[in-house]
Amino acid sequence: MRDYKHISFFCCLIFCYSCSYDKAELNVDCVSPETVSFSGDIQPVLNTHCAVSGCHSGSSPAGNLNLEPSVAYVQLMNNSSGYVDTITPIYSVLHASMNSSSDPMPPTGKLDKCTVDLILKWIQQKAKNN
Amino acid sequence: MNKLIKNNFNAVWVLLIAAAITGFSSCEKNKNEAPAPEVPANTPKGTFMFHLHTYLSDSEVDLYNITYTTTEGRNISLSMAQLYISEVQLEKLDGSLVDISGKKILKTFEAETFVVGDAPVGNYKSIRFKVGLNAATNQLSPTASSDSLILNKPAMWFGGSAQPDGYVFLNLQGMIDTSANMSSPLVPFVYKIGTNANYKQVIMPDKSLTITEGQVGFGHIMVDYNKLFTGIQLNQSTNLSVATAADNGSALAAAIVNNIPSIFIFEP
Repeated sequence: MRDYKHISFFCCLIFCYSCSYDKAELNVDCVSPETVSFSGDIQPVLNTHCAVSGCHSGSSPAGNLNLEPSVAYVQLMNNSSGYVDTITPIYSVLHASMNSSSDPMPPTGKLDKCTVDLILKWIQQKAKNN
Repeated sequence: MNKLIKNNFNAVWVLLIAAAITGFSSCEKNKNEAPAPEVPANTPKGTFMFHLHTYLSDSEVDLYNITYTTTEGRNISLSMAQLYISEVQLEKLDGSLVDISGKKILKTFEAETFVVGDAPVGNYKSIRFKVGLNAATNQLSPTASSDSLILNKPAMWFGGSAQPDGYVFLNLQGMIDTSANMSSPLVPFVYKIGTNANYKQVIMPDKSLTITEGQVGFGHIMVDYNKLFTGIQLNQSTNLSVATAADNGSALAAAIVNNIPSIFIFEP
């Protein structure tokens, strides 16, 4: 009888761990501000995940895109770059890169859905420098 | 007693097998990593786009007529850098190809993002396209087709009109240091590549791309025009000009055309 308990426990473990990758796809209720602020909401995300050493910072930033606070907004809003497209927000490279399934930014791992949605919401609100 | 032990032993095996089956079958989503099956016509779709950067060696070109120094030390400035891309295809994991659309793109210095078209949801391993325009398009009047928005561009004509010579597929102009020791003043160059014979296939190296329903998948590519000069003796003044349709039959034009696939590099 003791064996049954062990085996049952073992089965439960296999079942639970076999789908651990699905956890990221769970629907999560995101609480985002009514008006997304670039300085208050977006730049902190960029600071933490993008404008880090060896990536989008310094004199030779990856992809020639510096996302440090002093220049991030101007670089993102460069008309020809396509990083932000306020007419068709999902065409924005910034959002699409973070939302990519195969090659997401940052390379260390896809950001949570709420953060990616926050970026999109900021672009949908015309990507203001607020 | 022996019977009880045997029954317990059988029960243990049944449970182990059940657990293994449960574990494997519950990972159904991982099957997406296997070669993609044939895509039915009504399959869900996402959007495939290009993000194309203009580069000279390891420098992104931000402005025309600014001198950039390549990694080998050669100074170059550009006054024109644009090309047509057409017949875009995505290569599935099993090697089969999906035509994205009949859409043609004019990659200009000023624009970096381009909607190519709808792509079936799935995993892909590479991108293919052609630089230039197919023979049918190459004989069209610039204003007489649905592509007039990109064809009606005098910079992409060999002369004062698009016909009868067809379109310039790739137009690169500027100034370049042609000296061997790379220390001389810059001199002008003109490379206007066109004609049906120079319609060039580009096959990008493998890089995974996933198209998700209703979402955008980007091909992020650097266009390094410096690589067009590979193997060309720049200190010979005759190697600095391909300006007419007739010039496109030359050995110089052939060398430039053969360099075209190498100018496209995936962003790291």
